[in-house]
Order: sequence, then C-alpha cells, then structure tokens
Amino acid sequence: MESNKIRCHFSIIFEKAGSFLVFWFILAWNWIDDIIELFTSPDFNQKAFQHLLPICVGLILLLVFILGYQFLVWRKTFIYLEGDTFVVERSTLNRKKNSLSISSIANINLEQNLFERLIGTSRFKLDTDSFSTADSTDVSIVLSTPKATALKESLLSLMNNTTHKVDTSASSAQTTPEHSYVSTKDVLSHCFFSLPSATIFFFLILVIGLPLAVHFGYLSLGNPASGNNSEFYKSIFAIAIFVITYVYSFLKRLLSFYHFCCCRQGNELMIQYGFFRKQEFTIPLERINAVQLLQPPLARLTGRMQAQLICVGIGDDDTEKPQLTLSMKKDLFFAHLQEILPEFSTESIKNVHNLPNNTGIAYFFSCLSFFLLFQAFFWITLSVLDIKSSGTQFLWICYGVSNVFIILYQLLHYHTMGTVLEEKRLTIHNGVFQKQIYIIPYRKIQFFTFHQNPLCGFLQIARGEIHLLAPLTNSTISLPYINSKDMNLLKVKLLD
Amino acid sequence: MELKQLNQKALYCMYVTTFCMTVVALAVITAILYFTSLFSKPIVPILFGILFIFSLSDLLICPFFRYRRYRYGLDKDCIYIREGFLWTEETIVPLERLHKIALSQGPIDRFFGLTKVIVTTAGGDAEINFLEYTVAQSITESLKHKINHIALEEKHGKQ
Repeated sequence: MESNKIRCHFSIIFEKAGSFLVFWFILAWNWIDDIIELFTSPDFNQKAFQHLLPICVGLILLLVFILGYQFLVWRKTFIYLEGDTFVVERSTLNRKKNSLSISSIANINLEQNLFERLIGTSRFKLDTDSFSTADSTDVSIVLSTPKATALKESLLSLMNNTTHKVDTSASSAQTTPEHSYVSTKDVLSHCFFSLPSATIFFFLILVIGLPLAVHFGYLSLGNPASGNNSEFYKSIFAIAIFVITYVYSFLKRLLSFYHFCCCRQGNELMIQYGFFRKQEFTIPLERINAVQLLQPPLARLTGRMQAQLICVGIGDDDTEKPQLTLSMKKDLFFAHLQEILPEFSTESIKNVHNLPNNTGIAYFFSCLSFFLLFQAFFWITLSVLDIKSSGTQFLWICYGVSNVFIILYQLLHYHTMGTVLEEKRLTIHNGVFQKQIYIIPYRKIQFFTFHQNPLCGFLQIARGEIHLLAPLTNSTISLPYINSKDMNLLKVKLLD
Repeated sequence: MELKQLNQKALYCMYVTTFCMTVVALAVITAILYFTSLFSKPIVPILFGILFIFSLSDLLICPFFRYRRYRYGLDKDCIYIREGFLWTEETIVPLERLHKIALSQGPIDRFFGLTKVIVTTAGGDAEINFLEYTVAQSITESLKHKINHIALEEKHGKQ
C-alpha cells in the first residue's frame, strides 16, 4: 500500500505562504506613497539606497525561506492507505504520523472554492467519529481533483469492506448515481421560508415599532426639505444597514445552497451544494446519529419542512451545513425523506403528540415563576433607576409588548413540545417559533439526564437532556416532559 | 441495582464547598453594589438583605439534604447517579458507551480525602462526586474490567 503514497497538490505551498504574501502586499500598499516619494525625491542617492538594500534583501530572503519551508513540508508530506488505516505522514524538522482507522471515518468532504476550481484542485476533508474532534476537521489536504475523487472512491470501497488499492489515476472514475439537482427557484423558496425568527422580529419591529416611535415623538425622521436633516439621514442609514445585512445574509444562503443535491448511494448519503464554494459530502448511514426536522416560523405557517443531519464532521465551519433536504411542502418532504433515508421513519411525527397528563400544571407554575421574575426585574429596575411613570408611554408600550411576548412564547413552547417513544427510536418535538423535531435511534444515545423540581417529583413527571455524539451545538438535546412510565421505558431502551 | 450513599466526610466537604461559593458570590455582589453606589438606593439594601438570608439558609440547609439524597450505583449495564435537593437530577450512563474514566481531586476534596470519578462518553461527561479515594479507585477498576469485557464481547461478536 505504501507504494501508493501521494503528495498534496503543489498549490498548497503558495496557499500556506499566502498569509505572509498578503501581509507583505498590504504593507507595500500602505507605504506605496512613501516609497514613491523616497525614490523620486531629489536627495535620493546611492547612500540612501545602501540603507534600503538590506531591508529589501531581508524581506526577499524571508519570503524565500517561507516558500522553501513550505516546499519542504509539501515534499515531505505523504498520504497513503496502510492496511485499514488512512495515514498522513510528515517528516520535516518534526516527524508526525497521523493514522486514522478507516472504520471510524464519519464523512468525506470534497470542497472547491473558485480558485481551486480554476487550477483543478479540491480540498479533501476527513472527519472521524470522535467526540474530542467533533468540532474540527481531522484531515484537510489539497489534491488535484482526479486524485481527490479517486482517493475518496478507494476509501469508500474500504469502508464497505472491499479491498481496493489507491488508484490515483483519473481513469478510475466509478459509476455515480443519478443526481437530481434542486432548481434555483426551490433554493430561493428555501432561503425565504428558512428566515430565522430574529430576522422576522426585527422586520416586525421596523414595520410596527418605527411608526409608533415616530408617533410618540421618540424618533424624528426630520425634514429632508429643511436645512437640519441629519436625523432623517441617520434614520435612513440605520434602516439601510438592516436591509443590507438582511439582503447579504439572504444572498449568502442562496449561493451556498445553489445546485443542492442529496442522493442515496447504497449505504452512503451524498450531499452536494455551493456556488462559489462547491461542497460534496459522503456520509455512511451508520454515522448518522440523528435527524433534525426543522420548521422555521414562515415554513411552519405555510406547512413546509426541511431536514438536517446530526453527525460528526458536517458543520465544523460556517460554510458546512448539514442540510439533508431543502424546505418543501410536507407531503413532498415526507415522500422525499422516505426515499433517501427510510431508516428514519417519520410516521410518528405525522401523529398528534401529547404531553403527560399533569404537564399543564407543572408547566404553568414554571411559566408563572418566570413571569413573576420578569415583573420583579422590571419594577426593581424602575425603582433603582428612578424612572417616573409620567411621560414614559413608549416604555409602557414596550413593557406591555414584552408581557404579551412572554405569554405567547410560553404558549407556543407548550404547544410545540412532545416526546414519542417508538420501537427503535425516540422522537422529540421542541422549539417555540421554530419547530424542531429530532429522530434519534436509541443506540445512538450516549447517556441521558432527568431533571425534576418538587412539583414535577410530586406529579411523577420529568424533563431531561439527551447526549449525542455531535458537534457542540447539537450534542445536548433537551427532552420535554415525560412521565415515569416513559422514563423507565427510555432506560430500558437505552440499555437494550 | 444497589444504590449507595456517600461517606460522612462528603457532608463536611459539601458544607465547605457551599460556604466558599457563597462567600465569593456575596463578595462579588457587594463589590459591584458598593463601587456602583447602588447601596444608596432605598430598595437595594433590602434586596441585598433578602439575598443574604437566602444564601445563609442555602448554606445551612442544602448541603445536608444534598448529602442525604445523593445516591450512586453501578451494575453490569450502567452507571446511575442521583443528586440534588429541591431540584433533583438523575443520570444514566450505559457502560458500553464509556470511552474514558478519570479520577479528579480539587483542593477541598484533597483536604477531606475525597475524589470524583469522571466517566466520558462520546456525548459528554458524567461525574460521581465526593467519593472516598479507595472507593473511587475500586469503582474505576471495576469499570475498567466491565468495559474490557464488553469490548471483548463486541470483538468476538463481530468475528
């Protein structure tokens, strides 16, 4: 196997030295006027040049040294398959050999940004099924695209227990499944219906709050016709900032999901998307720890759903999104999910889920305590800051809106919560404005914790947390109220 | 599963730990209120007094009930930990999910000769606190044997 040792692509040298080159370029750009002035000044003579020469030579030597070191790193770094391990070996000043068991690979990601597409390279990323590296990528190397594809195919074959040599030739292309890419219209509707709650609230504040603030005289739009129009421009500037931020994030999402495709390839899922940065994930089904179905506020109102995967390796950085399906109508969504991932049954989520009988009482007291705490905080703050009640209509409007918001929040949360214990998996419904449904096979639960306050203890119900092998954001999933019978059943299923 | 209670030393350790935490928390709050001149507001001393009384009652009552209620146990399948006074917490960790076992002692633990056992799974850590050192060691040994046994069983099963 070691005879199949391969190196990273040559471009990695310039990429690694890139930060220094960029620093040098910025430095030169900032000093460009001084440098021109220095060279064109009448008192610039040979003596001054003698002072400058060592600095220029020093900088060039530094650049040569950095490029030389990166060349050495490139020359001495090898990637190969050795038995059932994937090895990245480097022997420069330090000797380092990273051996990853092929059986523990959680996913393989081929990534291409615009520059890499131009020069025909791909970034090959590997993640292992490990908690300690759940929030980082285990291996990230740059290879020519044919080599990267061949290496991926070889690894996939080995992962499927078939012996396969690393064939780095482009001719080793294997049969690929039929890809059905999502249309741009679907990506657009996904981006619209996936708008986060915060953006919608800001929009509502802008539409409702702004006229109110102007009406009560807390905000003046000024008169652009008059000479004193600075306030008008300030207000317009603030609104423009909000709109630009929103449009930017919308476009970013649109481009990141451009050409989205998810298909099943035997025991693997293949997910592709991206416009500027093209990503291609291959995830063995065994490494999927849970599926998260999402309904952001607008999708919830219009009966749409989308799904994300919970597994190690996707979502390590901002550009990676563990999207399984884009937002689509419920009927279509269930049919599509059944087609690509029938292992995660969605039957239970179509049914109405009920909370245990006494949950209402426990939840009411929990909400009441939060509500009273908010009241105490508000009135104490008023008292401490000596705010008089007269002439503060806007404050009272905010106070009223906050109270309504708290009540609405608690009602929606109660309406959304639910747990269904199926034969082989646990389904958890959670969220407030955005509904999240987790489908978790029992064998993927690492451990769980139940919490009980005195009232819950008396009513024989509990809340809890489920711990999974996943990136930090998804490693702990909140478990809504369940009764003692289900608590025991969950224990049995976990230890089964 | 047989659930075990902690040693008497754990109670003293809980008192000392709670005392230290209460003193630090009150000192920080007092410093903030003093340096922001909020003590001059009429309502603030009253609120601080209420907080002080709550903290004092917490210091006197909580460790005793926490000690009385703390239970842990392990059998061939899982580790079980139950703790808390008014708000209780129950943790169940299947042995076959364990990746790592560690012993840890803070300064107060060392003074009382106590240790905590930290068990790590792929989804996070769980802790059995306030154990005597010898008990912690025997639990660790027992867990090691059980994990090895499970690993061997899995290996034979795969073969």
